[in-house]
Amino acid sequence: MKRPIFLLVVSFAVLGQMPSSAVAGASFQAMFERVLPGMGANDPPARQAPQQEFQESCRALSAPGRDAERTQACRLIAAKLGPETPNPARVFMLRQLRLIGHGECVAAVARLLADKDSEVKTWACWTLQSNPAPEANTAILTALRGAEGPEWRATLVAALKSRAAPESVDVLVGCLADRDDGVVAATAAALGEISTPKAIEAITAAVSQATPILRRRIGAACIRAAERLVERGQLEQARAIYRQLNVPEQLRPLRIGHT
Amino acid sequence: MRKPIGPDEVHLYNSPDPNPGKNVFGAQYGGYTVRHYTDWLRAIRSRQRPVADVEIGCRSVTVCHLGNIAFRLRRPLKWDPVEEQFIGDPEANRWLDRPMRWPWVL
Repeated sequence: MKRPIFLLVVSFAVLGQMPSSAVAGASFQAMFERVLPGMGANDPPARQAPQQEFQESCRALSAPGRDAERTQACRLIAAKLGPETPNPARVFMLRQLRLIGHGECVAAVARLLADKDSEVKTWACWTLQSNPAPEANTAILTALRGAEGPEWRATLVAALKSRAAPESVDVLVGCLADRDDGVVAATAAALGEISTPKAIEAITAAVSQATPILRRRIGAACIRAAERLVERGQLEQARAIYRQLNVPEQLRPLRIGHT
Repeated sequence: MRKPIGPDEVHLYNSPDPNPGKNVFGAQYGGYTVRHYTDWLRAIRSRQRPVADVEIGCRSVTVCHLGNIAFRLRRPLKWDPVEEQFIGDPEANRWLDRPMRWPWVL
């Protein structure tokens, strides 16, 4: 899908005509304090205007060159993520932090991985998933070690898949022995995406021992790992995976690469 | 349109109907689904691009997404189509995907 074409500058004349409600520094704090009660209003339509104003300011602060203001704003937001704030406002703040947060908000968001509200908890996970700070990965791994319930474990594993950090491999290899098939499938997908030698060793060993349904999912993860190796130019290692899958006792869809 | 397109003017490609006069999958599909399937199979056999080529579709819809992201961020963005990343705007790159609830994946 990747071909050299041209650098495309996306710029609309209309952008310059738009009223900007973006605010910075002390004015962000003033705006934030003003809109926060409305963002958590019981009546959904009443939340719309405050949420929109807040969102516009967050987006403006994400522009290149405004890092100091963005950091300051994220700290202010992170300080209001506790249970004293209504859940709709917490979720909306998390949605903004997912797009602009860095290391400054990881600790506050990580605390929400143990929140009682499942929506807050899930958005906290997704917020950390997109956070470029390495501490975010550590926070997800820590939560995974004590996670209850297969859906929650799979959500955390899927976040690790998205981050594809090699540091996750040791914990994920342990999750291949999870009692829930969905978690095992998610874990295999994550290991396939990360595709370090240890990750590949784990999924290629698991593929031959799994039940037919799981074998197909784990085999798909092996194929993904091979694709990642090809992207990195490690062709011989990729061939080794394909050879291992292309044997008569293996499932036909895997042998033809139909995942 | 003020007048019909003439025979010597540019026409959009029209996939041939493999079952002319028959409505194989019912009226709601108008026969076009079958035409797309037929065109796709023809492309496999001939090694030519199908009429609804996936890469052209991807590149076309990318432009729409980029416009939407620039509109939402209220700023001009530079796009590198090879790396499929925005240049010099790391926060804009965080708009390139969204979290999916497992087992939904891309």
